[in-house]
Amino acid sequence: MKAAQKKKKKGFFYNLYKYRTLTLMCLPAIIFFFAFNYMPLPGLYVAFVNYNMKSGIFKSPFVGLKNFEFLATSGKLWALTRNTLLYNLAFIVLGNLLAVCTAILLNEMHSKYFKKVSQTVMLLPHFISQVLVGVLVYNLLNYDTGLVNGILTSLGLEKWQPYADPNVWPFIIVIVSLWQSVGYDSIVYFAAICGIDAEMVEASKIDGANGFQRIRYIILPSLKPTIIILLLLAVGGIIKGNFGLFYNIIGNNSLLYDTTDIIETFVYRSTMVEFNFSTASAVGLYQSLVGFVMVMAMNALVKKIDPEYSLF
Amino acid sequence: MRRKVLAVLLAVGMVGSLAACGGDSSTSNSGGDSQKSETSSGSGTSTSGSETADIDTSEHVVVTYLTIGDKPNNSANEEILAQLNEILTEKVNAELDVYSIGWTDYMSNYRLTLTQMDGSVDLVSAADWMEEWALSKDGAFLPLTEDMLATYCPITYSEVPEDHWNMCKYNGEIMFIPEDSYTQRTNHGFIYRLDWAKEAGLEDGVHSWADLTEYFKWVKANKEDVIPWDVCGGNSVWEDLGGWLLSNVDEMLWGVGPSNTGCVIKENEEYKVYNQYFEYRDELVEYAKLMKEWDEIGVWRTDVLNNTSSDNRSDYRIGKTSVDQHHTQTWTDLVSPGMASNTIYQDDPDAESGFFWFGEEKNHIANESCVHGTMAISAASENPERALMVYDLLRNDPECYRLINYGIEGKQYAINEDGERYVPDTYNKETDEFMFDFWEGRTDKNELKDSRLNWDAIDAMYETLDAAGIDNPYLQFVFDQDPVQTQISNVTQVTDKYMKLLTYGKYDGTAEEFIDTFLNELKSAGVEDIDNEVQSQLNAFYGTSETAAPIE
Repeated sequence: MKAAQKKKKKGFFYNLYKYRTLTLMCLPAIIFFFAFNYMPLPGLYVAFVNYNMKSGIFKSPFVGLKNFEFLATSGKLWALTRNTLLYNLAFIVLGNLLAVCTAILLNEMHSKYFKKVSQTVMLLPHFISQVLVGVLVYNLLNYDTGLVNGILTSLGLEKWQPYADPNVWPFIIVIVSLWQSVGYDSIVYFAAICGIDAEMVEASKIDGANGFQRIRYIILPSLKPTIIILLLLAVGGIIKGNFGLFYNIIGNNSLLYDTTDIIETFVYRSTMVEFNFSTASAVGLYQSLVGFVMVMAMNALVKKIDPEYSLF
Repeated sequence: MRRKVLAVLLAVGMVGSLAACGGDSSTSNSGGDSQKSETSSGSGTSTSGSETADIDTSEHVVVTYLTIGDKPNNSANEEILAQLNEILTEKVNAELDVYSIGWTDYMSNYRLTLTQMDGSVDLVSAADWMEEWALSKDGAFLPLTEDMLATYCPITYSEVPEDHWNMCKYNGEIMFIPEDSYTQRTNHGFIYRLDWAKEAGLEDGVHSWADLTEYFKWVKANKEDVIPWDVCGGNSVWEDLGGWLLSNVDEMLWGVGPSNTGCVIKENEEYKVYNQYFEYRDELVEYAKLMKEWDEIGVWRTDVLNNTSSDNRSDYRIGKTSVDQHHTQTWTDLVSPGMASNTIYQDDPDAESGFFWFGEEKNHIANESCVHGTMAISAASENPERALMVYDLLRNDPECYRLINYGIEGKQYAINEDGERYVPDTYNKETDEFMFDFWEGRTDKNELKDSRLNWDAIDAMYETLDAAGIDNPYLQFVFDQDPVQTQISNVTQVTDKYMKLLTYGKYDGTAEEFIDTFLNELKSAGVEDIDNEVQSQLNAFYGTSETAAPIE
């Protein structure tokens, strides 16, 4: 600790030199983020102007917060923020929970062949484009020719019309999202489990710990830092909805907007009809600010509970 | 320490990626800035060009034409361009390049391309259905001075009458060249199977919404494999509403102000702004009831709002659906057995197509506006003068005109002894199909009659429509949205949501309740502010002093 403080005092350039190899290896990522995330920052100004193509962003007339007015007066801001937050909360909590469970189950599996096959099968949905997911869901659930309704009819049951019922969609969307993400997320946890010191596991076995005890007292505590980091990362994006998923599944169906409209889909519809860069950027900025506050707050919270696990 | 470095990097990346979403458009900004100087230098040369009468074309330039359409996967476009460019090089030392935007999401891609402002396009296909006025206001198009037009586009300039040029003005500046001498009608209606209507007991065919209901019932009951109207959920919404009002409101209505917010002027009360949703509440209720009835008949798929995969027009051509809601121009194609893709006529010799045009019951139809299709020059164009010269040739030189509109003679088209064009037997759709969609430059003087079309039916229809058509007196009024932008955004959200439900009868409860909920939401979204703003801008423009009709 003392040594670390000493190094810190020697300043940025000393560290840059000392860690030159690591820095060099980071360079591509640094350039990437600089080019795509920092250089566009001045462009945020477009959220405060009445954008005109001829004048460009910086010469268009300044209008202050007028572009944010639309968000506030539509009366939708609260419902949209709520939908976005709740959906993401469900995705994060259930997603991580399922991913940890899956990783642990995979780890307990002894047949190497079965392990590989199931991992691959679970990973596949991650690579299916959202457009296709939308088509799949439509073909499963639509009233006239859907698979589910085909089965229901052949069993002599009444047909189900989900596309006219806004209340079932939170469940359907969460299930679809989990189906897509769990396999991929579990890899991270699986890797973390593989990194656990084998001696510890062996020692517990010798001490007579059974499978459940091993999971409870060895694996889960070792996964704690990974879980926290992934949660923190996810919380930063909690205000950003998964546009592709929602747009492709719900599309034009305004019957379902009440329960499925998130900030992204709302902004898409309102800006695609009018094509207003300024309003769209205003919403983007709003999301970024909320996201930023979320990350800082979560980090502060974690720091308070256990400084070792905080990001910065 | 290493962990800390990593953590900081991660955090930075995370925040950065959040911010990036807001800053997306900055790329277009830098393009816009650097481009600004180019534009000014461009217009500089243009004025000097008009002063010295002879035009300097010593430098060979490429003029890029932005068009909307799906380019076929073959080399036909390039072959035609090669021939065309020989002529263009010889006459104006320029060549044409075509940049096409496919129909999928065309509007967003079109706007994005224009917003780049990097000089990558010169001639721009524009239209009233592609927000030409909003784009003019945003500065996407280069204002065309009369000097420029007279110098670089002389034939077109002299042929387009002055009042048509006036129609193309925004804030006193000409923004685009109108397609004003080409006969067409783009009024909407339902194209239907006349032979089926006769079988259904409608001897004269379909001439009202009520007839249409009868027709759909018959199709549903008698044609097992046919979905009466296999429409995609987001489509047809505004045309249907407008059509219903045309057919059911006693006076002709002229839309003014922002589209879809419902501001209209009645033909018999000049300059007074009404809001159609409130003024015609009872008609909307009737409409809601009828659409619910259609939904229950099974006119469209049950999950029509989520249906995105149907190709209604192709299905009509092969007899899998019984109507296509589109305009007269489309009907001229679908009514013609000579068009090879209309296989209904080959499969069934009795097949016939009719057209029920919106407003037929009341004889309400607006004449074609000359700014329906227009050609603009991008404000970022580096060679606006040469672009105008190329346009003048494409529009007025018969050889160039035929190349860009019909293709190569003997390959894509041929001319019979009556001087009509037809498709030669050697034509192979795979290899010879081309796409320039040069709608904005069509003119009757260079048109060759298409021998494939059913001219008897078409001429009769045009006669009927011409007899009923009246001119829209408010076309020159262009609304400035800025003062009520927030309200327009809000109202658009409300109409976007409710119109789809209304058009496809997807609502619970009674029609009255549904319409009243809709009207209440419109009111709280601020529709009254828009009405008043439209009225005050209209008063300023025409020098009148009306007040907008109060809502409810």
